[in-house]
Amino acid sequence: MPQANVMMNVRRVSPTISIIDIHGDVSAFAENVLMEAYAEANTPTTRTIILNFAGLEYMNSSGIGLLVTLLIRINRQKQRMYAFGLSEHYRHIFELTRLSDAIKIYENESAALSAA
Amino acid sequence: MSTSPPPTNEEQPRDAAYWSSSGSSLKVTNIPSGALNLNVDGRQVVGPLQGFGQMWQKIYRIRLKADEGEGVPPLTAKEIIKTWKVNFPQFWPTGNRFYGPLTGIAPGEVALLSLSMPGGIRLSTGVLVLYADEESFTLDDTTRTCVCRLDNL
Repeated sequence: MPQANVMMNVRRVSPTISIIDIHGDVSAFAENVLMEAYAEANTPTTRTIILNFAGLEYMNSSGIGLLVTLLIRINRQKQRMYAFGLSEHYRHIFELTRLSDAIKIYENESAALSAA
Repeated sequence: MSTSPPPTNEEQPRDAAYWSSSGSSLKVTNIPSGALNLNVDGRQVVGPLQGFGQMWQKIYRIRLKADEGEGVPPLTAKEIIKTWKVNFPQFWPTGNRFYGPLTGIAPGEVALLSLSMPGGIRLSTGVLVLYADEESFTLDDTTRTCVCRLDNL
């Protein structure tokens, strides 16, 4: 069975904001890695989860499904999800799938943090 | 909310060819005989968090038994999905029709649906092939998103 070709790093930049840096492929095989990253990013005081897609190399429709699953989980916690670092291609994907309706997209980390 | 996009990467990602390059608005170019272009042309597809009803992830498992004769190689996921794509219109329940695009299930193509609903009502709608690669494809319509993927043999 193919292994997940992704690495995720969690940065708790403040008591209320955590950033998940994504490097590699986001597909169905990334589920465990993503959920473990969220578990690490999620603290009792976390209000905003920011996904950094600057290192994203590949994403298929199952990867979009994973993000939706994560988004639902985050919403249940009354948290918000932001994103930055999307290339033009992946920004198109977010708009095509209407994921951009639910996840606010920013040009860079600074802009996302300012909004959080 | 959204700000100006980052510079375009000259090198396309590995998944670029598998995603629809069109927008989220459905565009019907050819209407197969018997199909109705109702509630389709110009409509927007909805995201997985939208549409009516709650989104559920459903996983179906089927057992495919190939001919296990001597020297017969096992089926691959690519072969099964290829067959599934070609014969997709034939796999719909009685009373329901999937009018596939002439070019087959490929990213960006639009198919028309005629669905049998409770009470004898017929629902005409359409789907956009949001994503299609050798081992999966995703359809998105104006009400919900359907992902078809083969995980394991």
